[in-house]
Amino acid sequence: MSLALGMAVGSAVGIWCGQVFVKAVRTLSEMSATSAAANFAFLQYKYADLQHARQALIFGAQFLDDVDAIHTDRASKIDAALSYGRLALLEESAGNRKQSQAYFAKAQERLKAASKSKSDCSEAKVREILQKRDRF
Amino acid sequence: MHPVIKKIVVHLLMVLTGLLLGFTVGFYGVNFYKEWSWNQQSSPEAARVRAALPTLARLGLMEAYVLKEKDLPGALLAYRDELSSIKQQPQSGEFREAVSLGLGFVYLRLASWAQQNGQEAQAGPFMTEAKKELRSIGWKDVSDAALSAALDRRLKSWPCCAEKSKQ
Repeated sequence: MSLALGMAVGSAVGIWCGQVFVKAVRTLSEMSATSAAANFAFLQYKYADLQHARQALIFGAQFLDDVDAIHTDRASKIDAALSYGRLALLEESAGNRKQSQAYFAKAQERLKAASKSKSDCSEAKVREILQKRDRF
Repeated sequence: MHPVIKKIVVHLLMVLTGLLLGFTVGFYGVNFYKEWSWNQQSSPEAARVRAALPTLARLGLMEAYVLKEKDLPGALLAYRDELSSIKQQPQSGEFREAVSLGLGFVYLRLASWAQQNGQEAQAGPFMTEAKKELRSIGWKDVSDAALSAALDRRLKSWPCCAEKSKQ
């Protein structure tokens, strides 16, 4: 009886602690991974040639979209919006207007999904955000 | 010992044993179940995240640690070894460029550290390695000045380093 009582209480506490632990480890791991993917995409966009920058941005945006698809994550949405916005600017500078428009649409869509209120998510806004963030 | 006290002690010990056993089973059981259910998710998104998560998470964590510990060449060398081993793993495939970027910055920081500490002989080879890594991932300008500026910006963009440089 005492053993069963102890086990019941112990397992309840163990399950709760286990859930907290798993959640913390997964959150930390996802945060590190999304930050690594977003940084990689941004630095390649900033310093690499067209082909490598494009490849890195697509990889980053895809990974951030995947993380967001598994469980909705506002930070991943914003980072994905920035990656798509940079892809749009990259394609624009390469003269691929149609592709650029498609990426701008994706950026706007992610930004809209991440916004709490009805804030401005126009193409001009995406350009403005990127201009501010990428300025250095 | 009085029989009543003895009985209480025995019960308490059993409760404690049960608590310990229950906690262990509950804690590891949940961990095992969560890991199992995570591996059972069959969507393509989950499969891609599962494949990328370990490498990217390691990369992100190590980068955060190394950028924070900015004055430790030992940490940088350990990070370099770790990244080199990740790069050589066959499964690193599509993350190889991200790993090369990490390696490039580690070499840049090592070169910068060597220069600041008067070890010019060491700075040269570190800089050469940095250029090799960064050129391999398509960096357009790998001149000493451009790379130093890139490192400087990178450190300033990192919150803790930005704070330190302000001080």
